Amino acid sequence: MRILTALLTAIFMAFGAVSANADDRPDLVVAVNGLPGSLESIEEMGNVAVRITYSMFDPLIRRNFLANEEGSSSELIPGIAESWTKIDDRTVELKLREGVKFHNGDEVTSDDVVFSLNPGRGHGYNPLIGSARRLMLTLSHVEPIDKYTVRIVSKEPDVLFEQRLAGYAMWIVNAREYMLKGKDAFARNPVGTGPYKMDEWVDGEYIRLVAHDDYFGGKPTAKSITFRAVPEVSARIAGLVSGEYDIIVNVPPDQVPVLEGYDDVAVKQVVLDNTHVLVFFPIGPLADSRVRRALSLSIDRDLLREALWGDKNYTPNGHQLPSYGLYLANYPDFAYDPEAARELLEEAGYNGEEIVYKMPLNYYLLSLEAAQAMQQMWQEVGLNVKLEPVENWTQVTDPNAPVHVRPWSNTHRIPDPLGSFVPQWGKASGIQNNNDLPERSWKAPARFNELQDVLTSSTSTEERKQAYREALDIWNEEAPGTMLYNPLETYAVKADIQWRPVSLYYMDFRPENLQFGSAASN
Amino acid sequence: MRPTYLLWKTLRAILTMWLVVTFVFFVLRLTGDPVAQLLPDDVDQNTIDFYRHLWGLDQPILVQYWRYMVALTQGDFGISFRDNQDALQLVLSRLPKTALLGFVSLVFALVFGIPLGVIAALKKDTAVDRFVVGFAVFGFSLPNFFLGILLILAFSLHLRILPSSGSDSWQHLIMPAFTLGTAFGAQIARYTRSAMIDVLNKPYMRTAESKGAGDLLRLYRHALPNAAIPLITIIGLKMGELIGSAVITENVFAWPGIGRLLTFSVAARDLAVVQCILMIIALTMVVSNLVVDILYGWLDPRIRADGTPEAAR
Repeated sequence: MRILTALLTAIFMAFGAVSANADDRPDLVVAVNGLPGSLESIEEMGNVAVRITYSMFDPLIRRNFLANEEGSSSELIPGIAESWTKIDDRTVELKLREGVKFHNGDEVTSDDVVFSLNPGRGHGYNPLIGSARRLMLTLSHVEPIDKYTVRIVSKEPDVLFEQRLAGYAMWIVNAREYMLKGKDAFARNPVGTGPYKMDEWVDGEYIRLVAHDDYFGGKPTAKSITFRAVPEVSARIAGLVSGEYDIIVNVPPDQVPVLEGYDDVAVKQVVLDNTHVLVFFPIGPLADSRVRRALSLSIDRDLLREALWGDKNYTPNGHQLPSYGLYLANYPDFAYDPEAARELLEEAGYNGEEIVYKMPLNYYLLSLEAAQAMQQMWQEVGLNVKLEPVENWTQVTDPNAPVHVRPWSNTHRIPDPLGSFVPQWGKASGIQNNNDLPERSWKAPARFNELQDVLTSSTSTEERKQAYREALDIWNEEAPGTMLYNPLETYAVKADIQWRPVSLYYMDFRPENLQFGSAASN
Repeated sequence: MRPTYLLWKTLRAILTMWLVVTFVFFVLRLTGDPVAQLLPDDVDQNTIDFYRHLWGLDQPILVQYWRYMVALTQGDFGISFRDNQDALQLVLSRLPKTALLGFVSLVFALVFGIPLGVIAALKKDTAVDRFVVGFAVFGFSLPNFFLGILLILAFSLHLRILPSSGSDSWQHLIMPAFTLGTAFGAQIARYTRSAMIDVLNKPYMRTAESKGAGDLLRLYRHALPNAAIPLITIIGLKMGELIGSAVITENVFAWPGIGRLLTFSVAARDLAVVQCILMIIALTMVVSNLVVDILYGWLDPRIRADGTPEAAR
């Protein structure tokens, strides 16, 4: 009898233990508009990829977006590296955390950093993967000092080196796994250090990640995250409301009131570190910068934002963002002055010549609606703008067909003019070097390009600020383009999930930013 | 069946597919640069040049075409630009889902379309007939994307009894199959009705009646087999269209079939995948037409296997 009692007690305790250890964390389902073709961290960096890979990889230094209310902070915090020191103006020494585990159980060492940032992979003369080259080009090489110490060297003095290490393309991959599998197999089943690791990828249906419980940033709060492809927005909304999904992405602004009508759904919006801009090709009637400035002056950006985005976004004051280290807070806003526009057109002798605005349909959210509204604004000051929506970029930039204005977006990949303004509008940019038709290139004043050199090479913040202000003035005066606003990305989330979006397309599901249950809804 | 007849059909099929491949090859390349579609809008020229070279797009278009055709003869359908997978494998992996959706919607269309058409013909010019014709026009006219979204709103959003998207269970199949099958069923009903009306007025039907054959016997033995020939034509053509017509439905319901892959690949100018899908669509059309031709001969002995009526010999 005693033996039987002991046996029953043992069985009961065993079951109790199993019950106590059972993983009762929820499975999170995120309905997304599309899935990537590759999860290699530098091969595909569009929104469909980075919202997944951000949970699978870590950089050495991390940008703490959530340090401010808007989710756009540029504060840097330790990632895989626990500390770093700038040895000289080209070298940063980083001390890696000890015991950081990859998804396969390997420990992160300096060899993985050397491999991840080696030129042959992403930024050499003819690298394995070309898509991240532009983001890694300033890298020279990585020196392993010991198992947990590396020195990363840039080609030239780089004031933004730490920001670059925290940016796109600098995530650390497992060298052993990568070399064993090869690039393509690794892209299907990558091994990083992030809070979630690959479980299952069913082409065209879903990618499921499961918790990496050895994550150095704490135990993940969800048991798994499934990114399910649901291209149709109404199906995403229906699925969220009916309980199939926990989070949906890419909600158009006109659906926000619908979603806000449900008590168990919360809408989360974030203004992206991306600006919708217009490019003015300096040809035909736009060869005169006064006509280009008139185009910019006659746009009522407040009205556009109010009508299209519910005034929940903003227009930057100049080609910059508040998160920039060099932010010029007192730089003037883009002016709306139809009277000044009319005067400029008169001075320029503009006689109603046709201006062709070509745009690819369904590329930028609400770009057609914005174009139609701007056409009316331009008409009011006497600008004769013809809208030509086309199917793709090749048709927009066709050298054999007229185009004077086209839409564009500038992503501020690093919170500095070197992250967007210089690469997008500087002397090496496509704007100044139009490959489709050289006549469409903007002939920037020599001074503008000199200022770019100061921004690139100077290590003095004050000197860089002055150069930036002057460059922005020239840009506004010359008007090779103008800015409209930063778009919103809208997510809808079950109300009992506490999660905040950030100002890039990353979805941060690290333990501190994902909580479930009644505590979350408080 | 004469061997020359099959040979001629096969040659015609190869010619059709070559024309499709050639047409698609040039049209896709002339209407958009895959690199511009696949990379972000702010990449630099070096990156664009890197991928153009990698994918062979920096070669003259005729060189690209020659290389593609040579590879095709070796069974190499190319690599997807987007995920570096073998294009044929990628497309074939989606085929079962589309086939399942197509089959279920076809069965749905036949089960509802044929009886409705027969009833409408038998009750010609009555309220029943007008109802069936009205339903057929409605079903045929209602766009798939609209019907699909209506169903999602009703059964997923409000009633919450069916999943809105995906393909994990049999419940996921109901709304997409209904959406795809409705328009097809409506067409079947219309064709069945007109074919039946035509047959019911034939002299042999009166002969059968005068011989004392009952209603059911006349219907199953004389009317339906004779009305089946035009129906087989339309069903054959529709089977060929199944992949193409599933595009919208698959997108609305996130059904992971070939239709959705096609939309995505066209938008991204994933050339090898688009070409592979269109070859499969062309092949389906050709094969279904061939099957229809063969069925003709089996259903109507007056029609020879080479397609010419006995009377014309």
